[in-house]
Amino acid sequence: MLPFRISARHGRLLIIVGLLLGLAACRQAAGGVPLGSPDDTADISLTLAPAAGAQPLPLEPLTWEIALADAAGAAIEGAAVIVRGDMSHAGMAPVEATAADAGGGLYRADFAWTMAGDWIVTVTATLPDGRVKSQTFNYTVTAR
Amino acid sequence: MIPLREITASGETDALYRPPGRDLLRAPLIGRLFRHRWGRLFMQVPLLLVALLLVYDGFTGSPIPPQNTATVAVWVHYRGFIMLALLFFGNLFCMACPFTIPRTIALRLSRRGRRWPRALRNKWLAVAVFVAFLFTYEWLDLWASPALTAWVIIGYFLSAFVLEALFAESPFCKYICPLGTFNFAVSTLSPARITVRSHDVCRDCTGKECVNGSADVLGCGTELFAPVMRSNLDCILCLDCARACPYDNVALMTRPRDSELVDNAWPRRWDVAFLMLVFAFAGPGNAFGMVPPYYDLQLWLANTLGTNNEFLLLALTFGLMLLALPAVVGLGAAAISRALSGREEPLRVSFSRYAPAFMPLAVAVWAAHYGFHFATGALTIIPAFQTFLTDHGLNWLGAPNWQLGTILPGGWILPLQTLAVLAGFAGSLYVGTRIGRRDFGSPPAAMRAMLPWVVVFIGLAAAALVLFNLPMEMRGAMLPGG
Repeated sequence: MLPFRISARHGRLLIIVGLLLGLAACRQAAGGVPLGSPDDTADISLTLAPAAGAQPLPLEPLTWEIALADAAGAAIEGAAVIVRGDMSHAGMAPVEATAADAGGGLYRADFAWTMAGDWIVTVTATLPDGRVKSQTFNYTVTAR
Repeated sequence: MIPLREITASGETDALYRPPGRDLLRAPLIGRLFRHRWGRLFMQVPLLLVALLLVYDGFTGSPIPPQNTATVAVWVHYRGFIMLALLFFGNLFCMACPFTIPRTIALRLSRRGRRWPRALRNKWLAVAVFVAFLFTYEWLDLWASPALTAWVIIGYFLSAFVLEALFAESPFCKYICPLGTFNFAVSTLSPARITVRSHDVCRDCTGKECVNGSADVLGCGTELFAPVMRSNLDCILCLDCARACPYDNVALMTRPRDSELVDNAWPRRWDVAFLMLVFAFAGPGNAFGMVPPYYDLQLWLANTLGTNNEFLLLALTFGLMLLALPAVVGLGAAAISRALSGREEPLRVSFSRYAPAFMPLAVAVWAAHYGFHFATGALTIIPAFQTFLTDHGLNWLGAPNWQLGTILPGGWILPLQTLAVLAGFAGSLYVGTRIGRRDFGSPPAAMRAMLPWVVVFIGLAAAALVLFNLPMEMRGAMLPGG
């Protein structure tokens, strides 16, 4: 027996809040990994070139170079790598490109921006052992 | 009971009362829904559920804006649908606004609340909040953050509830809400407005339930008095007036789109006229924030002032563009118009006379801008919602197809935007001409009085056309190191 009384209305409200919290707890990332779960790819190094930096990139096609390495610095080959660019503004269709394995832990993907602006580039690498490494990079693309 | 002298009406006389059009409250199905006691709640509840979903997804979903329903629905769909609703029907969003659902609870808590301070019963605060909202949108890059978008929704709920609890007269809707301000402005061109079926019935009515409320139904939240209403300004289309009227005398009549613009339906007040000018200048101003010259201007300002403080630079830009420019241009045009017409009248009258003529052009520019986002991104809500479902293990709609986006061929958009701006410009000229004929009688005097305003219309239309022809850049962070 509870040491306090809860009205039926408040009880229903509590149940709804509980269900919503449970829903949020069950939520998964797009890759199927529950959000907030430990990152089992923290030891994997993923670098993207051209690097995200202070200088904007020109609005022209480019080839991404993705380098994958394990904790010991050894190149990871045989991964499936996808590059996806999203604009920072909602309502814009993304650009997606599949990277080709160039050997030595290096992957290349041809890519074309659809317009100038702020872009969020997400690289998702499915490693040979089945783990998924995903990392985002922010770029500004300018027409000038 | 609210004394009638307290009622803010858009006009005092019904001398220009038009013969009624079609009463939408008597239309099959939709009329019954609108008049039903729970009709408004029936429309609010779905939007409330959508708002809760967006808040939930905003906080827990993908932080990448195009993948989150909060950012997609709020910054693409809400703005597109609202334009369509306002242009083809009326203030449907305010009618179904979920933020006011707690109104009844708030009113019970407040026991009708205190009166909103007299000094604030005007549109100055609405101007400030409207500009502040557009500024915040740019400053915090609201479009780029699902979590901030969720906070915006929560902020609306809290603001509406607190102000309803403290004050009568729905001050949040009438004097503060920037969405409401936008909707009021566009709804002046909507094809329907509240009126009454018979003025005789109202003359004999003692209770004035439409504004004072009845035992069962609240009266008009914004305290408009149906028999003297001639404008959609301040009308949230809640239809409480229609539900409260014991004589079933309130109507939602169709009307010519220009009716309230040419019928002298707005009070000749500085605040109302300035709000409309700010709304008109904010159209191109808002679009300006997405094209390369805007970033050049920011860079020039940063170099000139020796600062990369984004808040300061944006505040300066928005202050100049959305407040100083309409004030200077409006006052200048009003003074020249008064001098050319040879009329000895207060500058306030000259300033506010042609404010309604801005509306067709202003609405066209906003519609062209929001229409662009809606036309290019309407279908992106589908993969965003599919992602939301799959994140929860629900694969009913299959895997997201991220190539979904536009609802119109890309080549159509610029011609449609151009057409909209030109049509708006023509509409402004037409309304201005009607206003001139109404107030000056002789065509030469009317033409002289209108001339400086025509120059302003040309400037706004040209600015809009140039902006829409520039390549767009959707950028947030402006300055390196800023």
